[in-house]
Amino acid sequence: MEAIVCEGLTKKQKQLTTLKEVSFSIPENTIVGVVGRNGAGKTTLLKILAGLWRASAGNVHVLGENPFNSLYVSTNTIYISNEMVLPNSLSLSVLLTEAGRFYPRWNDDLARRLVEYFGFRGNDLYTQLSTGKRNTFNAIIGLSSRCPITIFDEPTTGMDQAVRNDFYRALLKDYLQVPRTILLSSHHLEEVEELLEAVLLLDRGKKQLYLPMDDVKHEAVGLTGRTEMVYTYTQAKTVFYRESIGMDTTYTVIKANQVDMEKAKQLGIQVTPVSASDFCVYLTRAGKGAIDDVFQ
Amino acid sequence: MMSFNNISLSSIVWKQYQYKQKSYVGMYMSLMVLQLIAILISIEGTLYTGETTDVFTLNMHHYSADVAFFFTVIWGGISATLLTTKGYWVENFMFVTNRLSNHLANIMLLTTVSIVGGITALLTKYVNVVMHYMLRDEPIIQISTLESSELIAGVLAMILYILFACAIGYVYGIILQWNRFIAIVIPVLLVGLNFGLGYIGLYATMYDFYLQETSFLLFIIKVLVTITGLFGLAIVLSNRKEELK
Repeated sequence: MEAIVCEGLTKKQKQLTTLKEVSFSIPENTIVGVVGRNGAGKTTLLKILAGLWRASAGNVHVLGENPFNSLYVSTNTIYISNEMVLPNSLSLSVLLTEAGRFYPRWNDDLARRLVEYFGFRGNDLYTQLSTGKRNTFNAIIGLSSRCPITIFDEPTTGMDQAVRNDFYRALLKDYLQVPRTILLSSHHLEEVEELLEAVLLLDRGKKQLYLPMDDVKHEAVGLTGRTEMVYTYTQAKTVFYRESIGMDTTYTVIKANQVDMEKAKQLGIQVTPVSASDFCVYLTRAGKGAIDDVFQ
Repeated sequence: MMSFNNISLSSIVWKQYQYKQKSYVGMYMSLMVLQLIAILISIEGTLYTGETTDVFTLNMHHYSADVAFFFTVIWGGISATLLTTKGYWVENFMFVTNRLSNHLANIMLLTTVSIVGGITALLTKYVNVVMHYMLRDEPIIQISTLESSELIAGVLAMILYILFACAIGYVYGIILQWNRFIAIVIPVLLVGLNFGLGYIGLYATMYDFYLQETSFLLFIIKVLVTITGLFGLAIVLSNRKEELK
């Protein structure tokens, strides 16, 4: 069964179109990474899926229902972001109890143990926490709610490296125990790629790619060699990225299935794998140029 | 396959209401502070007359809950408007909810604070009387002209007025979020109309309609219908907004 289906999803905010004709579907019980640069439309998409924003055009179905303003979707979905506002009048411990009353699958035991592990005190106040701590607490609520659809919108903002690693590990462990559909948006694909089963890459409001993680890893390869050779070899091939390194050497990223290893070797071209994270960066570069051009 | 949970509107409204009671405790705090100020202001009574003859001195203090009541009505309106401002609004949508359940829970909360505000406003009067007992040496003759049935009617009317103010504040807050321009035009228009029509017409009619009603039952019906209409308008208007938060 598909947990989430989008067809031609478009969102207009004032003059700006933040999502353009986005179509994809996510099967139940998978972890999907939503990646893209700043302003690519990640948050817009996730808010629409969580039922907080209305789509301007196209169809959205979450658990078979239009999520906007739906109590059913709201009950089965949790949206965790760093914009969360929780009351200052309640202590962290009471907040957990209150959150637990709303979510039918809430695991209070897990919540309390995580809160203790991450060094919170039960009577701390939410607004007194630092950004990283606040997001850690949000993430704990997200994990403990065990909602069939759990959406983390850049959950690790401000967390230190140790907490990030712990969070990803906790996410994976809990997911294996209680499978559910998890959407995770992040700027650090290399950190989460071990977790993800599929990647949805957005670029300026459009779907750039939506592939299983393994495919993304093997989608592209890097060619390094003499500029002339590389140019000749990559003619009529899909070039994702080109960069000159040194005097007469060029690094080019092309589609992996267009590379003939033997031929490349003959031409003195070195073939290297391209990480998923780098591949996404190459796909979503603003123009042809690089930051170097700004300083020329 | 995972099973999904279906939940009824009423149970979510009830949960939201309980949550709001706890998280908006600041509302009650501000009410307490305001009513304490009201007590201080009316410490000598709102009406004071002294009379001295050869034999005795008679000081008449008239204690009423007027000041506290006035403060509470204003407080109700402002608190209701605050509930619709962005900060609170985002907070409203943290856990399971949709627009309707959020409005219904807010209305229940405002009804509760109106009841609490109405009763405590009336009680401030007695705080003043008790303080008089304790702080002064003179013997006191207390004359209360109210029967208990009148007292209950009085409290009920107070509660309704506060809720009325809440409903107005709530609708105004929703309009403010929905369309800034209209929100500014409305008060300007209301004041302008007042001058334009020369104190007659609209306001006199409204004053008569709500405040000069002699039948208590009729008063209750009028106010309740108006409050329902206002909250209904708020719900309809907020449905025009695209974003929940």
